[in-house]
Amino acid sequence: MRVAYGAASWSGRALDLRDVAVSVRALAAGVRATGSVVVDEGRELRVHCEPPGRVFEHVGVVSPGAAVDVRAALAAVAWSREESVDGVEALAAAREELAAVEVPEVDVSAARERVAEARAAAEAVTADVAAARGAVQAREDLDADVDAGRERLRAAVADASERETELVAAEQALARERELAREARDVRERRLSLADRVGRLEREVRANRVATTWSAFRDAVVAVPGGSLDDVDAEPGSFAGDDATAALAAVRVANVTTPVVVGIDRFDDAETAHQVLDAPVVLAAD
Amino acid sequence: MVVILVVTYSRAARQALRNACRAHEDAVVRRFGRVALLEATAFGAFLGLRLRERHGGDVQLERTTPLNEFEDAFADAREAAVAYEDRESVSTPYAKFAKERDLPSKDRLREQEL
Repeated sequence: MRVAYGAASWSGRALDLRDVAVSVRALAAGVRATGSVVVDEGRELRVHCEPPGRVFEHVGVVSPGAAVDVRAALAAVAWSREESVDGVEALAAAREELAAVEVPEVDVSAARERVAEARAAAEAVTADVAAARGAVQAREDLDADVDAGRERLRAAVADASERETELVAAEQALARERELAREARDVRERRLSLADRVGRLEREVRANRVATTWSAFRDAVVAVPGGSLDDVDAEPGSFAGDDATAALAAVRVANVTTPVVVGIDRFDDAETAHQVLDAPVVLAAD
Repeated sequence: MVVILVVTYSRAARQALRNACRAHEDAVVRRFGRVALLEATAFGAFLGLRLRERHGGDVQLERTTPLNEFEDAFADAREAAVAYEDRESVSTPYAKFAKERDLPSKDRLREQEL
């Protein structure tokens, strides 16, 4: 790796920048943006290194405040070691199958809205018809002129019939859309069960990855400074030690080419850290 | 009692339904996995419609009513069900059973819209 900070620069697999005012956070950002300039305390920092992968995201920055999810970290570690574990092929196949599911587009809501509107319109005009009919009846009872009333009644009846036709058409359209939606739900149901299957396989693969690295992790905990075997349970993933120890042990087990940014005071010098962690290292003051 | 039936068809919608049911127990009649029955109140509808708004076709909403088997519409189905469940030999298929007793055939039951 090569680190340029302000006017100075360093290169090698083990760098000790604890006496330089560059922060752990800035170095981590520099590794993430490898090749690009990041600004720290008004000075330009640029880190050239192998781009970070899964392991870096979990344990690439070891500092007092960094929380480590041991199981997730070890799953990444196993991945970096290209450990073959059961379930990987099944997971890939299930993911592929899930991605291939296409749910047909169905818009039932427009059809629902049309029915509701048509029904309201049809009901509204029913009252008009009744009123017009009543008015004609009243005029007839008085032997009065009913021509205008009949005309109104005729218009109201025509209007009602038109709206009734629209309601029937709207209901038929809704029935068709509902049928399509029902078919689409079969596909959605299949997609959901595939998604659940992917979820189950992901958990299974992760558990297998954790299990496959567990004994190496156990050995690594003893090998890194600050670690104790008492903290490692026989049950894979069950670790009672501190986050920094977990991170250091995970890095030691992992196959990493991206520099690890170490901001804790557990190594005398960068070369020792590099030897213990078996990874490119840059030490920084937290 | 009329209820609102909510069925979800994605992990996100299912989780959202779970959360909604947990947060508003008073509006939930019952929940089974990715399905729930909500009170048929405007609030129950509000919960269901929020899910539909966010998750679209992954949320199915229905308004359902209890079934009263003593209504005329269900008479044929009820009589057939009662008689068949009371049969002496469990292995008798319904088709044979119905023919012997003047009960409606499966096809006739299928054709009868309620």
